[in-house]
Amino acid sequence: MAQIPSAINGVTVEFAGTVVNDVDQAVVDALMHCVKPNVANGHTLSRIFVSSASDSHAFPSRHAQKKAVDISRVNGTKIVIGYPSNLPLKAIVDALQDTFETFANRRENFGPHLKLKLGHPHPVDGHADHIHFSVN
Amino acid sequence: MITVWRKTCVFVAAVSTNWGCFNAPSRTGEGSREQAVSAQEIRSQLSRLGGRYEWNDAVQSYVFTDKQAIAEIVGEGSIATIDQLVECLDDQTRSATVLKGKQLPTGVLCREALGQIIYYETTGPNGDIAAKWPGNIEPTATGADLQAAKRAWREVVAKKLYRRL
Repeated sequence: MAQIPSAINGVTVEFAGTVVNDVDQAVVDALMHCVKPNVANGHTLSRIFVSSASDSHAFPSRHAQKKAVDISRVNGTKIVIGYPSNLPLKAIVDALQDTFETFANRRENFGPHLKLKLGHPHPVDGHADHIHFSVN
Repeated sequence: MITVWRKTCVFVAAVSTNWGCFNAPSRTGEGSREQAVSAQEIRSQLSRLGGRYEWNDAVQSYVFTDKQAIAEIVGEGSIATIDQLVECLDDQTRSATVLKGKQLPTGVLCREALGQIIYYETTGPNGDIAAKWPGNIEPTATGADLQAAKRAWREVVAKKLYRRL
């Protein structure tokens, strides 16, 4: 298994104290694909906050399978508070979700901007407060 | 509203400090009382907060207009605050917050506040996120919806299945 690094493409990765950072390599690859300072045109991504990785979810959850990650803050601001009124935050969240859609191994892409599973619309409750990425 | 809250905090802290000075052995107990008073005050603050829910096309949902004011009220969200907000979820007392001019139940504001602190993901049998969970409600929630949300959140909080945002 792999660990999500504390910096990805120059973007600082912060972790909630409860995070168990033990994930499938594909999760790290997905983050390497999406998390970049210039992911959103005209806005700089400098920090993300991982609220959950392979913790806090019971099997068969993708989290428990080490195949999912949740991001709840961008540049130090909670998505739940900043989205959609904080335009730089919105642009970055939208760009992260849009970019994940170009990752070959994507599975679930849930957040305030998109709710897609395997590239298709998949309405689920919640996820206005964080981004949930899972991989196959 | 934020100013009133801050003044309340200062007042409660001052009272606690005074008690502590005169009766040091009881400070832990008084601290607990202070926490309970503060948590109780949160419900009142939320109920009086005002603001409104407006439809937002980008998120295809109603969005509260003054999220930052709630953040100021709940702060980091202590365990006591989380407990109090869960217990408040089925409070159908009319708040000062409106949706299309209609006053909403206080429980809706408690859900808004709880949702700034923690979240929960429920899983389907195949491991993917489940489509529905009664703890997630819209500001248009009925009394039955609010009661169901309270039951769902009580279980999640009791089992500590939530994540902090």
